Amino acid sequence: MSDASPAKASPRKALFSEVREFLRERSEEVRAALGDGPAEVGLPVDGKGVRIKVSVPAGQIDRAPRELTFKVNDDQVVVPVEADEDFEEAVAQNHVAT
Amino acid sequence: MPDGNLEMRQLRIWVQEHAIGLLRNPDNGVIGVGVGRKHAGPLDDDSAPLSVTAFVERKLSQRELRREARPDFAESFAATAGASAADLEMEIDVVDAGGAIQPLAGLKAPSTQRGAFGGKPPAIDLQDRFERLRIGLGITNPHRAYPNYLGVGTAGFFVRDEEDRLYVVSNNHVIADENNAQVGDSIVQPGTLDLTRAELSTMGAINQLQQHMQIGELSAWVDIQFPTKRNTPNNYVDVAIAEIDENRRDVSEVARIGLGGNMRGIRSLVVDEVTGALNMSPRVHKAGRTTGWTEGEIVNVAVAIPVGYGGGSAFFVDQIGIQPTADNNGPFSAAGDSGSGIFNVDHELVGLLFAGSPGRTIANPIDEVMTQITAALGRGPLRPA
Repeated sequence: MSDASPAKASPRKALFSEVREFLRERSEEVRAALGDGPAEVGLPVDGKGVRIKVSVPAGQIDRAPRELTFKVNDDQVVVPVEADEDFEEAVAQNHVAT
Repeated sequence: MPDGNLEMRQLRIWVQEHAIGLLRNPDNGVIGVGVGRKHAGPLDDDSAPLSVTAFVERKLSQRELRREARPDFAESFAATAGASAADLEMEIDVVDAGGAIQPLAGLKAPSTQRGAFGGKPPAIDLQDRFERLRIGLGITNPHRAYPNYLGVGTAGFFVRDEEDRLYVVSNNHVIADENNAQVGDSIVQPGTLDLTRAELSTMGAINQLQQHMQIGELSAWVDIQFPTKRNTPNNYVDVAIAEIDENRRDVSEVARIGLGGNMRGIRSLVVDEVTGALNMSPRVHKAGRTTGWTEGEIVNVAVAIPVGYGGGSAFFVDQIGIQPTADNNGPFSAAGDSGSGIFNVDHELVGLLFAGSPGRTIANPIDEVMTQITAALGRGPLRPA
């Protein structure tokens, strides 16, 4: 059962490497938290704090929670979520024609 | 070659002594003088004699010369030196300059018209055929497609194995046909999508393409894992590798210092645990077949995103997200740029470009690329070359 959920009492702030590992190895929990529909998630590297950036299609911003908590060893950690309706579908960039 | 050098010196002395006289003669139409090879050949081509070269706005025919009562050029030329044409001991060559020689004026326009006056595209066209491979050129695996389907991606970067064999790295979907390729498949340059109609006509079969365009053979790739009904696997890289001959790689200084050739190793991205700041400048650049040289900024890492392929959508995690900087006049990447190596400001390789959208480019982190392609190839550690 996923432990990615809206905030509970007294979780500590997640470190960058913890969130990276979470997104890398437990992406299905993130997708479950975001619900149906395409989305892109990532970690901004602008130095303004560790947070998850979620991009969803227009009109779907309510899909994104305000923050996510998950377990790292025995710790409950929390990471803020920043959402924008700026999702763009990514495609492999070779060029093929008939 | 002493004789050749002596002749060059003698001709240069002649030009220094007589160029003004030639240029001041209004009857000969000369607008510039120099020393070159007859028939405007390259200076290092000894098959053509050295000559005094005179530039004219337009080369006149003998009939036009007679109609305009202009003196024979050789006579006019010799007269400048106080001699007759029969006495000239040097070759002379008249070259049509195509018009007057004049300084290239700067372009001025009101600031409200910024961007309205574009120029010609860059002189180095990464879609052209090159004798030797360099980073950024278009490449294709034509098997199972040519000539009915034409495609192109980009040569990303070079590596060597333990035995010093040389490889070019690109994407699986560029040279390994989304897992459907075979080891030994030919890799050609330019990409088949960039062949002219004449080339397509004269190389209508794949064996002809191989004969004329092959630059390497596919060696290994990492499979792209597509979702099943039960499972959506994570993908970390989209990478393939092809062995190339040493003599097929351009290692000239021009190729090394330009278009991403002179790689100074690889660099893993490190981010501060608390602030989330990257430990290097986020500014990156790449050279790719379609958009050429572009500059961007790494805006996020650990990106998880579905990516569309010909064979369906595959889910990628732990990717790098890049946006173009304001200095670009277009996107950081577009279709055909897949496989490009992405370099930081210190010219270290940080990623392998493989996907994107109009406003965003997605790249595999280079440490994961190297780990997985090394394992797939199975020839020991790979090092940047």
